Amino acid sequence: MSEFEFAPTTASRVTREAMRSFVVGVRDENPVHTDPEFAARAGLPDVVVQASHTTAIALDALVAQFGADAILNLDVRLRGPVFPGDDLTVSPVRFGEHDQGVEVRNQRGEVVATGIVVLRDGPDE
Amino acid sequence: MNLETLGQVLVETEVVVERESVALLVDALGTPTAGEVALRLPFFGPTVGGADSVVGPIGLSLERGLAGGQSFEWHRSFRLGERVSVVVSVEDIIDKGALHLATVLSEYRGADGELIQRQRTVFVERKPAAASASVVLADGEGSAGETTT
Repeated sequence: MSEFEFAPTTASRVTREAMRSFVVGVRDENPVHTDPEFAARAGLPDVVVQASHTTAIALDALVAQFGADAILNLDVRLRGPVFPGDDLTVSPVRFGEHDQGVEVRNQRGEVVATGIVVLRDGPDE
Repeated sequence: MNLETLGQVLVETEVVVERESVALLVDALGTPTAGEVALRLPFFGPTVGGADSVVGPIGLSLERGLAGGQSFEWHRSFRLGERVSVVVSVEDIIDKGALHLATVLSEYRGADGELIQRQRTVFVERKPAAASASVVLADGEGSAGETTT
């Protein structure tokens, strides 16, 4: 297994415009991602970022580091809502003795997602 | 949620990796590697067959439910313009105290049948207040860290 170390990403803001582009791109019409009034009925203070969007932000840090073909699996747990205007940072982490992956934090330092990563061991696999 | 949907295939269809959709994902990410990332997750299994193709049959309330996790098994990236087949099924759906949990599996295959990707999305739904009145949400089930987005 290659060394799983990289510098945390520069904080990246999730804008409403980016959220809208993403949900149209993946064809998710769930209004909890686009309609603040619906989000309020769901008990949320604002619309929340679509699941794949958060996954994509985590994956982007990994692709930048290792390349897309090196990443076999990514198992993301969404641990807190991401709202418009949040600034997200992705850092490498270890989970126990055997697992490695990333955590995504917002501007308050709260972990909003974690992801266990499986990388390709070598070029021949 | 409708626990009777366990194991059911909800969608069997073909979809095209459209340049316009991928471009929107690239715009949303706005990074140098966004193009590669977009071709790793251009489809969201629970809506790839239509907005109501999964939410309807499994009976997921969008006001009480959210995605709590998502996992990907990649065999290769999608290619712009390619037509792929997709099968979406209910891999797991359970009653867990104050919650319902469902795992939706989507599998994408290329024209020759080769597996491109397996994608799983876990939905967590709070039961309606009346149905879970006797359950304290903070009893550990409701705060299992699988809460949102």
